[in-house]
Parts: sequence; C-alpha cells; structure tokens
Amino acid sequence: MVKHKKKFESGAATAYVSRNRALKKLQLSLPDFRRLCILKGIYPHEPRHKKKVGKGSTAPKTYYFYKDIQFMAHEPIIQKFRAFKIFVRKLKKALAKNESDKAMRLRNNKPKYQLDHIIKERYPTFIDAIRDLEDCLSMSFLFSTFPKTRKTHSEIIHLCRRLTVEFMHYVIASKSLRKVFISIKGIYFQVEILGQTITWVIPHKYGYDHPEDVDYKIMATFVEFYTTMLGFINFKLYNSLNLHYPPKLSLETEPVTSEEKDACSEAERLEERLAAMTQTLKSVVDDSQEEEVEMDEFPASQSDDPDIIEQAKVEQEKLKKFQNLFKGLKFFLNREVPRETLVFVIRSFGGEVSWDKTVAVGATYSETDETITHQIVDRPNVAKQYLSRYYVQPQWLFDCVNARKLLPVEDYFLGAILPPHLSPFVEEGEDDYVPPERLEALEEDSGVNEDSEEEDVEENDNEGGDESDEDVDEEEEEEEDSDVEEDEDSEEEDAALRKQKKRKLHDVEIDHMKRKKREMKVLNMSVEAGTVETDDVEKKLKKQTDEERKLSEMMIPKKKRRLYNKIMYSKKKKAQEVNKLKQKREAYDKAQKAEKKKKRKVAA
Amino acid sequence: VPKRRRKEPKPLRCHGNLHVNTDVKPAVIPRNIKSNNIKKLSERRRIKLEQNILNSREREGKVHRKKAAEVAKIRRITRNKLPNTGYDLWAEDNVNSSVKEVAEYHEKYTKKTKPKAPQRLRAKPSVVPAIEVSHPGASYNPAFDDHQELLKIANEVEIKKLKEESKLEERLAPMQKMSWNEIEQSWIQEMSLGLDGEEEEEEEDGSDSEDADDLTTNPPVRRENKKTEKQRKKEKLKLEKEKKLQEIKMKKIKDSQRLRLKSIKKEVNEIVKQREAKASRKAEKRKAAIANPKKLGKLKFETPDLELQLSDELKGSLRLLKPEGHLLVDRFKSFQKRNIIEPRKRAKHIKWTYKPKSYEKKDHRAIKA
Repeated sequence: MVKHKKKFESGAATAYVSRNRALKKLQLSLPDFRRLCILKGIYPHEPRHKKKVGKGSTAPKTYYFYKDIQFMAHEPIIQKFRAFKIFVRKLKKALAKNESDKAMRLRNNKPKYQLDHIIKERYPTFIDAIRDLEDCLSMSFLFSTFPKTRKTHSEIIHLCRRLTVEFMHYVIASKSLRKVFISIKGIYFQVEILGQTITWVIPHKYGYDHPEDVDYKIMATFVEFYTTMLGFINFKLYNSLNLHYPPKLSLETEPVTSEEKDACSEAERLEERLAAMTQTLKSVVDDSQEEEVEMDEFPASQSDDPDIIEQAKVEQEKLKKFQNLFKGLKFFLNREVPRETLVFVIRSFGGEVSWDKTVAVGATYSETDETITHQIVDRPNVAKQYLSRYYVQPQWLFDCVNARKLLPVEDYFLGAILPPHLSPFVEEGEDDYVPPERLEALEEDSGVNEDSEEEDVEENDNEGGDESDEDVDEEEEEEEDSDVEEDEDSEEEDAALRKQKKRKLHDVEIDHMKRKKREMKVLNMSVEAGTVETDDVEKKLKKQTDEERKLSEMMIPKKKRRLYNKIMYSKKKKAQEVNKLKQKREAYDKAQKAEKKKKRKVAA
Repeated sequence: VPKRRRKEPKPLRCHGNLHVNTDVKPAVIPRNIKSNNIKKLSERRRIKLEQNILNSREREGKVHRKKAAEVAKIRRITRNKLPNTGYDLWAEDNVNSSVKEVAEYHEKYTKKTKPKAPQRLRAKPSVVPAIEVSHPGASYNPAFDDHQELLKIANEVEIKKLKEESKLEERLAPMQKMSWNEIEQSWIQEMSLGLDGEEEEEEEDGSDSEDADDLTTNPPVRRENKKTEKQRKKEKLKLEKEKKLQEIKMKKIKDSQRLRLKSIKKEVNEIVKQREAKASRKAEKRKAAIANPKKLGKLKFETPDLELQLSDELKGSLRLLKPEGHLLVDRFKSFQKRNIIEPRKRAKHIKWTYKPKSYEKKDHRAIKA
C-alpha cells in the first residue's frame, strides 16, 4: 500500500518559517532577533504561495527561510544576547536595592560582543566589503551629524565622526573623488576605490530636526555594524597607501597656548585638527618621495588593437590631470560657506585651503596672504577685496569637478546669477533631451566647436577695443545675442534711428566681410584638398544608406514588422517630446531675456 | 549545613539625631604629638616631623591616585563600546580573538564543523541600488528643463493620489438628504407613473404579469393526467433509442477525426501557443515587478513623497538653501524598499483605563408629581 502523503510536510511549507516560530526556535526576544538579523544580513522573504507556506492560512506574516534561521542558531552572539538579558536583570535588582557597589561591579563586567567574525563571514574578501560601502558611508556620515540624545549615544556619534574623517582623509590622499552633486536633500559624492565606484550622500549642515516615524533602534543597529566594518576598511585602505593608522598628521603646528590647553585634551585637539583636513597625513615610509607610477606596457601582440593601449594611456593622462585639478591654487573660505564639504573637494584635487582663524581649528594661512588665488564667497558683496584673487561662489568648485576642468570664473563671480548646477549622475541616452547647458559642456569636451574659438578670440578683441569704434560694435551685435541688444534698447531713439541707417550700410559691409571670410576659409580648405568633394560623397553615402534602409524595411517579414513599427513609433514619440521640451526651453529663454530688457529699461 | 549568619541590623533612623552631624573630617594629627609639645621640640626635629606628615600625605595621595586610575582604566575598557578595528581582518594569517572565540565555541558545544552559510546570503535581496541619486531637477540650482521635468513627475504622482482619494470618497459618501418638498415631488412622480395613460403600456404590463404567473406556478397535478404504464415504457424505449443513436453518431465523429488529424494538430498548436503567450506575459510582469518592494509583513511599503522645491522656493544660492526632506527617513525608507527590513507601524501606546460605570441611584430619581 502506498503511504499517504500528508499536506504541508514538504516543499514551501517547510522551506519557510514564520517570525514567531523563528523567535521560539532561537529563544530570543523580538528586538534581539531583529538586531541579530541585521547584523547577520538575514532578511525576510515573501513566499510566492502564501497559502502553502501558511499551511492553509493566508494571514499576512513575515517569513524567513528556515535554513537561514538554522544558520543563525549557530551564531555565538546569541549567547551574548542572553548574557546581556541577565546582566540587565541583575543590574536592575542591584539598583533597586540601592547596592551601588554591586551595580558598579556589574557594570564593569558588562557583556560585550564583537562583530569581526560576522564581517569576515559576510564579506569574505576585501573587495566585497568595498562594494557594499555605500550604505555604510551614508549611515556613518548621517549619524556623525546627530546630536546626543537618549536614542543616539554620544560614543556612537563620536565614532562615526572619527571614521568618516578618516575615510575622507583617505579619499584626499588617494585622490579618488570623481563627482559631486548638491541636491536639496543632501550632497552626493562619488569616489572610485579599487576600481569600484561608490556613491554616498551626506546631509546639509543645518539645524537637526527629529523625524518621528523612524525606528531609531534599528538604525542604530545598522550603524553599529557599519562602524565596525568601516573601521576595518579604513585600516586596510590606509595600509594600502602606507599611511599610519590611526592617522597621524605630518606637521606639528604652532605651539599650544595654556588657554587652549585648558580648553580641551591633547587627543581632542588632534582630532579637531584631523577633522580640519588641511594637513596631509604622515606616511609610514620616511622618505615620502612620491614615485611616479607608470602604466604597465603590454606587448602589442597580446592585445588585438594597439589603439586600445594608446587609448588607455590617454585616459590615464586625462585622469591624472583631473586628479590635480586644483593643484597650485590657493583657496580661502569665507565663513558663510559650508566649510567641510568645500575643504574635502578642494583637497581631493590637490588644492590648498584655509579659513579665518576664528571660524575653526586648522586654518593654515590668513586672508591677508597675497598668494591666495581664489576666495570662496557666498554673499552679495564683500567690503574689502584684494585685487590679486578671484572672488567666486562655491558652486564654481563643484561645477569644475563635474566638468573635469577649470571653468571660466566669470560666471561665478561675487553676486552673479549662477548658471544651473547640473547633476553629473545623468547619462543621456541616444535620443534623450539634453539641456543646452549640458550640450555645451559635452561639445566642448569632444572638441566639436574648435572653429568657434577663433570667433571667441575675435569677440574678445572687439570688447577690448574702443566703444567709439562702431563698426566693431556692429559686428559684435551680429555675432553675439543678448547683451548688445540690451545696449541698443537703452540708447535714445534718435541714436537708434541713426544707427539703423548706419546698420544698413554696415550690413552691406558686413556681408562683404563675411564673404571675404568665407573665401578665406575656402582658400584654407583648398590647401587641404577636396573638402567639397567629401561633402558630395557624404551626400551620396547618405542617399545610398537611405535607400538600403528602405529596401531592408521592405524585406522585413510581417511578423517582425510590427515590432519594428513599434520601435520606430516610440522613437518618433520620444523625438516629439524632445522637440516639445526644446520649444519650451526656447520660450523660457525668450521670456527671461524680455524680463532682463525690461529691468534694464526700468533701471535706465 | 552551616548556619546562616544573621545580618547586622542597620542603625535605627531615630538614632540618627545622636550621630555627629558634620561632613568636615577632623584634621589628621599624629596621636603622640600634642600641639603645645611641637613648640617645645627642637627646630630640627620639628621640621622632620612636619616633613613626615607631608610625606605620609603624599604617599596616601599617590595610593589614592593609583587606585582611581585603575578604576578609571577598567571603566574605560569596559564602558568603551568601541570595536577594535586596528588589524587586517582580511589577511591570510589573521588569528583574531573573536574569530578564535567562534571556533572554540563551536568545538565545545557542537563538536561539528563550522556551519556553512546559505548561498543566498551573498545575494542582495533587491536589485534597487543602495543610493538612488535624486533627480537632476532636485539640484539646489537646477536647470529649467530638469526642474520642470521633476515637477511634472511629482504632479503625476499627486494626480494619481487625488484620483484614488476621490474614488474612495465617492464610495463612502453619505446618503443625500432631501428636503420635504423634494420628497413630496418624487412621491407624486412615482405614484403618477403611467397615469397619463398609454394603453399599449398597460397591455404590455398585463401580458408581463401573466407570464410571471406562468413562470411561478406549475399547472396543477391531476389524477386524470397520470401517465399509464404503456406510456412510460414507450418513453423509455424512445430515450434508449435516442441514446444509441447518439453513441453511433459520436463513434462516427471519432472515426472521422482520424482523417481530421491535420486540423486537430492545428487546434492543439493554437492552444499551446496561447498558453505560451500567457506564460511569457506572466514572466514579463514578474520581470517588471523585480524592483518593486515585496510585501514582507502586514503592511505594504509606502513610497515617500518626492523631495522638490517650487520655483519660488529655489534660491539659487548655497547660503540661502533650505534643505528638503530628512536623510534618516530616506535611508530608513531605502532599507524598506530594498526588502532589508519590513515596513512597520509604530505601536500606539494605549493607556487602558476602564470607563467608570455610572449608576442612577433610586433615591435621586426624579419624582413625578
């Protein structure tokens, strides 16, 4: 006789276990269980068939994999949890009985647990840990800004602060910062460590408000795990750069006055100076001559394309240039700018930075230093200005980093209306809409408008010329757009009339000149032989490819044509949308221009 | 069994008044020297004595300090919750105390090899990245287009929410209240239905009612109508015949199906195709939902509101920036979204207090005259 198969004795019903049953199996309380799950990296799972798992009931429950729970049961930390429970009970009793000695003794023997083995278990190799750094950094940076409360202990906050400062020092030393984005939510950073791109977010430094609907206990558990992890990672990272860990500063600064000595302890002072991030760290190797690491050269026969090696070399060169973006520049921060973020960015790209001595510890030079090249200011005007330096707004730094080059400072001068701060994390697709600002940057990167530079030079020359030289002014009007138009408006009517007459004349002249220019260009081209023909070839090519495409379209079987049509339709729709956005943008720009004009008129 | 010693009884509180009531400790004066004696001593001896006293105090202080330092050290060590991370965890020859401890624990209690971690422990519970960078329109000084796009997205979300809300409201709307006038009017309207008189309608109504009667009531069963034995047999035979005919017909159809193989194949193929299409649709749906948060408990994950600032809130300066949202909430929600923790609601602290019952005493009942 065949044995009768009972229900719910195999399959999903036994693969899963509800949380309550898991609690019973592990003999833990719910908070302890939740803590253990977070530490061990074991998460609940939604079964596909709830009825099977629930043994007939579909009540909403939290399920775990039974094997996970079995694995958790082997965790020695559980013993510590139990010991801690007993400890709390004994302590309570001692306190209730007013036995302070006993309480003290108990407190001194408070059970503690280490997370080292769990970290090793969850991240068997170092690179695994690096890959999971995003959460770790975000949480640590976030907690380091918290005030001390009943839920957030000062020790944890302090530890977070220390670790994040250490990490930032590593990023500075290794020059691995790549992108910065300031959003209204927080500041995003992206670094590249050991070939891994890591993004994290830090809060803006403003008054702390206490969100109500967040479980602090859970977040604190996460932070507990992440701080241990970050500690180990920092150690390893520092070792890889031959730096001391815990970090030491390379220079001993000015002697400490007695007043300062009373204010804080030696350790605290060191910490403050570390957090200032103005100094480099001490290396383990005494002779800190930086060796130029050259790229390994592989024999060309190994790779298919010798271009690849060349390309890689160029890439490397570019990266090196980018890493030393601010090298040789000396910055001074006014007190109203977010100091730490800026210092981090400037120092990551090799710049020097200081601030007013009264703002914070760690200032290296004063405002009167004549060698300062840039002063970062974020207020409408500054009373005393030095001629030897640029006064720029902080956005300049971030935009420079994202553009990977030093942008012209003019747009970011004191009190100027800033160009938009674009997100460096957006990567436009083929037919996506690209805003004009971004387009400009992209074109410049690829070196498309090389000939436009010539024009720019011309314009600059013109601007340098006398105002009375109206011919030149007119030309400028032709080429430039807004500024000159405004000038025109602000002038009196008579002058305008006169100008119009002149303009007609000049138009002829300009046409003439333009023709000349074109001829010149043609002459230039002719030296390089046959550009005109190449155009024709292109046309022909295009025609041919179009024809081919049409033919191949015709050849598409009916089955696939539908899909093809769908794709083409979606492309068309996208293009339409892009067009719409472009039109909108144009309208907006026009409106802005008109407003400017109006303002200028009113001012006049 | 040794006898349990009784605890010394504590001094009575009432005797507290008899004790010396001062916190000032008496100055330490060596017992063997009296103050007037010191004066009498020789200069040399006096200095020596004083030195001695000083020395003893210093010694005492030293001991105290040492003790205090020790206590402080213990406290520092034990109270310090900070983990020791000053070694290379991933080194090959790492013999760390904690790792060792784990091994020892295992040997001692299980006498088995270390349990293997389940494979899925390496896999992440969701494909959603840990840090989702905000929309470019959420820049503190966004480009116009980006900002418009963000506003559009937020607007869509809001419209969807409103729609759902209005739907709910419609369902839950209370019955409309009518004024007396309206009620009267509707009553008149109802009562006067068909009074204006179109005969056709009436006729139709009449026939309808007849039909209804037919449907509802079976014809009365009468003795005269009872079937005879003969009739029954005849009916039975007829039924059997029909059945046989049907069978023959079915057999014929089945036989002919052999010739219809091709078309049957086609039909089967059609069915298989449909099933496949259904399966692929399902798979697609599942694929699309891969980034969606799972339902891990009683509650569903609620997407937090998009952080955005309207055009007039944007200041375009870092100094005047007003941050939006809180990163702690963002992180918390991110954990929930990535299926790392289940969404929970904070338990409301309900204070259980029973409502006192009120009685009306007979004596105080209002007495009617």
